[in-house]
Amino acid sequence: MQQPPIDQSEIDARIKDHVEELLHLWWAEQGGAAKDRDLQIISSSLPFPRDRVLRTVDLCCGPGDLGRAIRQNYPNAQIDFVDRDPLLLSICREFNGRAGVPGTYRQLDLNDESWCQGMRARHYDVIATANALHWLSAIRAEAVFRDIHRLLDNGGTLFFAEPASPEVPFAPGFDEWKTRQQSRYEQGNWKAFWDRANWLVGYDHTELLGSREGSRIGDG
Amino acid sequence: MTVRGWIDLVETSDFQTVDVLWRDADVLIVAAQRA
Repeated sequence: MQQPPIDQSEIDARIKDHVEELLHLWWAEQGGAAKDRDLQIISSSLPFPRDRVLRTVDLCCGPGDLGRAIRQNYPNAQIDFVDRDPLLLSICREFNGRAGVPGTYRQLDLNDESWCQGMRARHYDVIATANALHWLSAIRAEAVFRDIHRLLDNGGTLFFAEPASPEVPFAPGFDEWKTRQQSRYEQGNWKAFWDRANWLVGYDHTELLGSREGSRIGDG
Repeated sequence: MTVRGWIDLVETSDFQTVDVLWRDADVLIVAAQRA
């Protein structure tokens, strides 16, 4: 993604008094209670004893919901919060600081082939990510999965939550049914988060995120 | 991408034990363990 017109410390200063509001808007944008359920499924399924000093990466962490959910079940977990976006990392860092959640923070972009160069191979117990890998192309996602495999220790586990589409023969009927269900994602919630975030930082951050089109895996 | 597509990507990347923990109309949750 493109870099913002202001530096990290200025982003931090502009959002620091508004992180709880931004987190609430983010929670709604990500699907509300359904996102909570996803986080609980992942954080409950980690194949390790609860008192372990779990070496963990919240990959594409955004504001850090998944890492904090893991930390709730694993109070000794050491979380590396990784995201390409300095604004979302800023929210994550500020909220964790207030909540007393320790962690390290790395601004890394999975579209950069050297993204994990500074991370220890065969070190981590858990690498988990939610609602992020579909922003990559399938070729890039496969390369990232190989990188994650290298980063995990023996017995280490990858968890991911991503959109999935039905196989072709089943798609028409399934998609027709889906149109009649309450939607998890609402454009209004996306707009509410980003309108507020943009106003706080003083520029249009969404212009830095890159296109939703192209070769990325996408939502379907 | 289909469920099979995601699983294939993971299995191609040498993960040994792969499972679908959840799937609904919006989301797929996968766990994949390194041996």
